[in-house]
Amino acid sequence: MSGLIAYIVRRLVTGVITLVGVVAVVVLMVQALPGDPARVIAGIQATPQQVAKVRHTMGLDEPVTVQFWRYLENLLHGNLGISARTGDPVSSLIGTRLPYTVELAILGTVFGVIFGIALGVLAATHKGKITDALASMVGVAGVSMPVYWLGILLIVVFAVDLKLVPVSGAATLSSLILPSVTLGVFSMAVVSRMTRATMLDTLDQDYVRTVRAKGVAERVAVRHALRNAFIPILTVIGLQFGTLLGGAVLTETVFSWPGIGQLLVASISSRDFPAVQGIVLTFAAMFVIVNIITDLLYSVVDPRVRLY
Amino acid sequence: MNQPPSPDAMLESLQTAAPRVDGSPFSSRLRTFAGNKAALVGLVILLIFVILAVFAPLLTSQDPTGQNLAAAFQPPSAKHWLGTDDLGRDILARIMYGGRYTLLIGLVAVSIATIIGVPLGLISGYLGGVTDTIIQRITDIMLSFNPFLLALMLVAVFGAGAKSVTIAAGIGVIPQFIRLARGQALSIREEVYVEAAVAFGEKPMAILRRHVMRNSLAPIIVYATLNIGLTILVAAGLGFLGLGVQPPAPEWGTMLGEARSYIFHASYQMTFPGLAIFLAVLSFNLLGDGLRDAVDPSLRD
Amino acid sequence: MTEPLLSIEDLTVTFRTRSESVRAVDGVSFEVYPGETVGVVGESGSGKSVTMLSMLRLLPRTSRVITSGRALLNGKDMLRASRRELRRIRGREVALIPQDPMTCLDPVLRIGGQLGEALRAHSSVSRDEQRKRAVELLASVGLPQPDRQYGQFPHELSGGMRQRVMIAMGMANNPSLLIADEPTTALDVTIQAQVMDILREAQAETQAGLVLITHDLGLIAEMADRVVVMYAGHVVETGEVNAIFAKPRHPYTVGLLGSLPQTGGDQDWLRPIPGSPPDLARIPTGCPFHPRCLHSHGREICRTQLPQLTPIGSDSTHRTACHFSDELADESIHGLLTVAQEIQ
Repeated sequence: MSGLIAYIVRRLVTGVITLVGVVAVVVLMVQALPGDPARVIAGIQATPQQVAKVRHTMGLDEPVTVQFWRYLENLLHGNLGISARTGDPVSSLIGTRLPYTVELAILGTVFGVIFGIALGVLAATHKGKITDALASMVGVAGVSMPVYWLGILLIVVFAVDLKLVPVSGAATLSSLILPSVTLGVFSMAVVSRMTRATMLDTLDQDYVRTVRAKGVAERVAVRHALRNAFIPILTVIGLQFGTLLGGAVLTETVFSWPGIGQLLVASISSRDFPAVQGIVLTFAAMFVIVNIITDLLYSVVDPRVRLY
Repeated sequence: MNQPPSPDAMLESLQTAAPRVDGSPFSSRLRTFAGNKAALVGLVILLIFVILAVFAPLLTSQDPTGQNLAAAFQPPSAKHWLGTDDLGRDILARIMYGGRYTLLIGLVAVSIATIIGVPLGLISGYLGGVTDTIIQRITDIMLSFNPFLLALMLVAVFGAGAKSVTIAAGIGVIPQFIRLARGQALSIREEVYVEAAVAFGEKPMAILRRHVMRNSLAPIIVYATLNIGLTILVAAGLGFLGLGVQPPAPEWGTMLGEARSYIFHASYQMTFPGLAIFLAVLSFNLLGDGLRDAVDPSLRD
Repeated sequence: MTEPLLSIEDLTVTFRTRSESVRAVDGVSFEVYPGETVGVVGESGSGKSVTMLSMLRLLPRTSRVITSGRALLNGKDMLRASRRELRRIRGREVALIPQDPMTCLDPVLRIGGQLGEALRAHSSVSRDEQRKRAVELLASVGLPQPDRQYGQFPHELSGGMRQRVMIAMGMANNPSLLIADEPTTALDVTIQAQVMDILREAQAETQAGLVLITHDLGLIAEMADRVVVMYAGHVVETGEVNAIFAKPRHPYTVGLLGSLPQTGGDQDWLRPIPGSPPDLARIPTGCPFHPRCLHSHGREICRTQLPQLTPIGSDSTHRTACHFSDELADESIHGLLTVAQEIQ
């Protein structure tokens, strides 16, 4: 058990190092703004005094290394700076909206994983048949689908024409369905493709033949094959989570979902860079955490995996 | 013993699920490719888009940007096959001209990613050591954003527009190319002919150029094809948010973003640009899948 | 005479790929009687494993397989059995002990779970009973701490222990027929003998028939009552083990025996049969063995006519498929063949 804890600590440390790198990127990002960053952030109509104030509060008048260390130091205190647009602390802006994004991301992943695995298993067990062809079509269509277009199509069909669910917002439970499906379709496609490929391999393994030789129902053999296919599947779930977060920005915009993705777009449009920095950092942190979790799940799924 | 691979190794092998190349002649690969109906469908769709984009001025007399408010919001008709948008512009003409943006952005963005990512990955994998560690840490950081967020950030800093969207989408997928090329270099490094070259005293850079680069070409082309689809999605997504190619240019994502305000009474206005994006991305994905199957014998049945 | 337990009649198995078709098994027939051990011998690619796996309907499903003939197990044709019938028969009437115990146990499941699955498949037992029976089985195959091994994962056991688990699993429902596919090739030499002892004990206890697929003639000599020699998908010789070893009547069998290491004396080396087994997509015309045969001497009939399996003299159990088997009755020829093999 202590080995496991050591492993978690090690993963957390590399995760933190990655995030420190991300901090460097977001600090440099503001430096890289064309012309005078303070001017850009304060806005074109800003008076020289306002520009000076922005420059000072954001520490833009100091060397970039100092800015980097200050950002890290503030981050440790949970301080992500002040939104240039609203004047609120960025941390509280993110705090109120993050739960919505997390909710959406979880539901999208759950939808994608459940249907993706089901589709992949169906395709692998019916290889070469019409079911397989259909599942493969769904898979390639899913990875080619622009989420924003899919979202609008779903709104038009289910909310406008059929009036089954609300058009936008996060007021009711049913308002969750369309955004989750929209966001989850890409994951579903990726997971189904991976599941099919891995299952085709595991279904032909000797241990599955052993199971069949015992005289059990075919679904028992399929279950063995699936359990053994889980590691690659878990890995894609972790990896595609990044894409899912990118999709969340677009999905939230389409559905007016009050998460940090929508906030990010609004912040970019209004050149609110302190907010952009904080949100980007939050997204990166979510990705890092999810991948640590999937790594830990490896050892749950496969007893041979020694993490430490 | 059949020890399971470590999670890290699994991750590595997945990210660099590089197709293995056999020595089968080009003609047999071509046959495999031609036997793949899905890939042919992809090729046909792509060719149609290319023809529409290149010969747009010959194929339509409609002006993709000229406004005519009197003709706004017309549903599909004999005169306007796909209808007109909120400013009375012919949607078909806009889609035809818009293909130029989409195809060029995809092609150029992936070229950028290949030109920067592949050498970095090859060097990282072939040299190993500190170089490898540094390049891989940077790649990790870039991967923790995803292509879309990375591109979105870049556009936020450098502003919208066709040029910055192309560069942003290209940079967005660089880490994937680094990973792929690194995996290639790692496996090719072990090959006999590379060992022979080392024994003959060839310099690392010469070996990289002469042997490693050439032998990783096929999987890189496959990967590039698949990534054109991805960069098109990213660029169109930026356009949808109003951060991509700027109006009145008929870029498909931008058209979709503009059409969004009218979904309640003119849903056809968003149907066709979205369909165009979907089909274009689909064509590259089908093509890439087909190329992969043709190049990688392990996926053949 | 008693009814055969397993009767394979004119079995032919063809694999179809897009470009070619491969006949892995061609017109194979033989029987297995209760309690007896039949050794099926041949080089890899001779079709010995495919014969048994197609009988069990356990060939990989990636390729298109066409089978003809019959494979009667206790009178029931396995090739035409329904899914439900197969489910009832596998594990209960016939069990498979596979080649490589490393890859044949599900790596992510505990031993107990995998044994329990075999027990549950054919009888409804309570959880406690199931555990008790599983531990008994593990003890019966000589695992040192059956209680502990019950809760272990396959990767925590050695190869020999895993093969014992496979045997325990095969014996779980007292099947009347055991099929052991190269049960020891993946194991250390020292472990091989122990595993074969366990297998023999298990067989003796249940009076099951045993089909032992192997390329190890030493194992055959030790274990088998009867031998089926296969080459390129055909049965080339079959008979009582003593007859085959003492008076082989097919050049291939002679070659196989000649390739045994001669321990003692100064001949402590292997004399492989010259050439290699044919590509099954391009099996030679006539006798499939003729290109490698040291006895054919380029005679035309060997190239043009497929020899049939025919009884030798009055001994109806000893049959061989060679146009010139009579010439091999003269044992001095064997010596010559062996010498020729040595020279090649």
